[in-house]
Amino acid sequence: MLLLVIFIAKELLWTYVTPPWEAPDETGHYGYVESMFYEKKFPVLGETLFSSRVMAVGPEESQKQTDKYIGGSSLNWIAQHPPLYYLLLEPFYAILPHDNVLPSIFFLRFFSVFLGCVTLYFGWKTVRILVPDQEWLQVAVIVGMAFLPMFSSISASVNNDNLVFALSAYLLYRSLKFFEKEDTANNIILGIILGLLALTKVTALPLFGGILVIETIKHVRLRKKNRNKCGSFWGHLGTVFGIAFIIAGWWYIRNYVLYQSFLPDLVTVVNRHPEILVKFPKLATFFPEVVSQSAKAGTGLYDFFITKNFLLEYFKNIWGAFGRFFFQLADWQYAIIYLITALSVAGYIRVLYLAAREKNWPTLKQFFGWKGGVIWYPFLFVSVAVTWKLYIIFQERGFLGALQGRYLFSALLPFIYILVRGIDHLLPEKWKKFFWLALACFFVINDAATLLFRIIPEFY
Amino acid sequence: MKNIFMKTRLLVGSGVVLVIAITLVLYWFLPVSFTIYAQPDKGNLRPADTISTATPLEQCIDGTFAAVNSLDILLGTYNRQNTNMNHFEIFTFENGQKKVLFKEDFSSAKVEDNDYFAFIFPPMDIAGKFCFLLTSSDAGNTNGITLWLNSQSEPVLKLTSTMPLHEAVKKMGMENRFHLPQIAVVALCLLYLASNIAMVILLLALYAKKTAIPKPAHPSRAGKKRI
Repeated sequence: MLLLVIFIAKELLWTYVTPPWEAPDETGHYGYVESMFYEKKFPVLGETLFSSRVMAVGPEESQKQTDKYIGGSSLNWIAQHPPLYYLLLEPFYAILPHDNVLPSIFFLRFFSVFLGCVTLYFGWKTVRILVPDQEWLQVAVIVGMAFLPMFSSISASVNNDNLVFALSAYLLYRSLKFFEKEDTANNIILGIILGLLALTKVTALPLFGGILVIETIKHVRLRKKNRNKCGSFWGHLGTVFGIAFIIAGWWYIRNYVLYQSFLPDLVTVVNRHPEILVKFPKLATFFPEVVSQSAKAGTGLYDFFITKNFLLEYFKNIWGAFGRFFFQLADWQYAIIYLITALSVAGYIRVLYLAAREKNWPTLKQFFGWKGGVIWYPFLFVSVAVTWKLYIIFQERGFLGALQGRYLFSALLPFIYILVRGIDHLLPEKWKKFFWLALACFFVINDAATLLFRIIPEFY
Repeated sequence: MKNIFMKTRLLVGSGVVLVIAITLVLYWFLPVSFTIYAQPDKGNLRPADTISTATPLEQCIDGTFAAVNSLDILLGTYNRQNTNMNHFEIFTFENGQKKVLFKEDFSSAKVEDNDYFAFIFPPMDIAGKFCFLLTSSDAGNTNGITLWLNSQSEPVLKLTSTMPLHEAVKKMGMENRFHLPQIAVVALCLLYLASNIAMVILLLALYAKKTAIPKPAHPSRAGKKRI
């Protein structure tokens, strides 16, 4: 509870320090809320415009950036996003003054801070189930989540990712809590969360795959234990995914009716409806650029991991990639983070080495903590896959193709937990508490140093 | 029971006082650096000629800058080890006379290839024309450094000013970004510092509590079993 109060207190300055529209796609997210409020309907990609109030805000470069991507018009390029997050923001937007965008952005960002708290709350509950007897490890993990600079930054911006993180954290908690038993109510709740996720952002859709893997493993385990009491697997999956479809399916059907695609984006829409180019001629000049940039871009797995050092860039961006130009943390911060990561990797290698020597391979429980591996990997895999896929889309479309580390935050807890757990394997028992304390203090100082010595100097 | 309560209150009180004290000290003294002027590395960069007396870097910037204390220039070494000496100076003009504010000689061996080289000097307030010169008397074709020019043929550089946090907050407040009054910006900053410090102190207190050696039981109770 105290951690949440501290989190809120520190996030208030993050909300102030980040200039309007400097957070990822904030113009689009805000424009979505505004257009729904005034037009009383969901925005349509290729039709919905930013108001002059939105366009008037922000530094000159922001305008140029907008110019490039939407051809000097005021098209909202993210109007295809599902509406849940924006619907939740509507009541707050309604009570804020509308004559000036600036105070309105500032206060709408508070909702993201609240969602950040939800993510942390379920992160805390999850880690307590995982390692109930290692209090200091719990502290290191939860402080690591709360004080991850990139998470601090996203939690202080108008962005539907925040709702994805909060719902994912709850999904992870439910999956873990009900991993050892079958429960119809739990199936219904899983279905509802998945539906809400699908209604929040398309990048959350692969979590359906993650849940499918987890539920399959769970079913196989339960079946082994007690064949008679185990319910029908298909009935179980049908409940989960059926409820998710009832909640979110209409949105994707609407997409198909409107754009002839279940997952549209601006380029797809323009390709299918060239009349948009008549209305916004600058977009046409942008398209040849797309083709040439696409040819240049290396988007395969080999490029992702080897030739262009993307894996390292991705890792760096998980910790920090701020503003429109994705500036990162300082070198000294990365040096410490690399050291922590190296210690973690060494910890896992040590476990494997000892196991190989004694021919006594560790169980999943010993290696990852209770039930850990089963739950973590689907979540982590899905998050990395989403980032890679989006990177390819960005490259092919010729957009700013930074590897956005924030997409990993659907698996924020697994990420920090795996990092910390590795070190746990390395440390002698008597040093553990002290090291967790030092690590937690580093997380706090790292976050503060980022804001004071990177963000403020860059934006002021 | 009363003692424990008093002790807890005392500990919490001391913690709060400590948080406030550290917050105020940091707020007043913590130095924060800002890039106040930059010629960015935009577009295709190209190297200039080798820096020498024949081709020095000399540039003047007009403006008003407070507490300037560092100039970072993007330099190159041609991917080789150079040993020549370079001369750097900052100067202004007073009544038409050149007035040197800072000078430094340094060896090219210290320069990293394709990286910013920082000239750090005592903070100075500048109003009007502010010039700097980078030259070398013993540079040659195979021994010397160069600087990178951006697409506008300007040397890539940035001018940095370092000021205490309270000054920085004043600067942030003056931008009036979200139409918040100055006092609110100060409050947000203090709250931020206090929350981070409180987190660290809380962790330390928790650590101290958990690792404290438990007191032995009172002699009168020793050996008695609870029923």
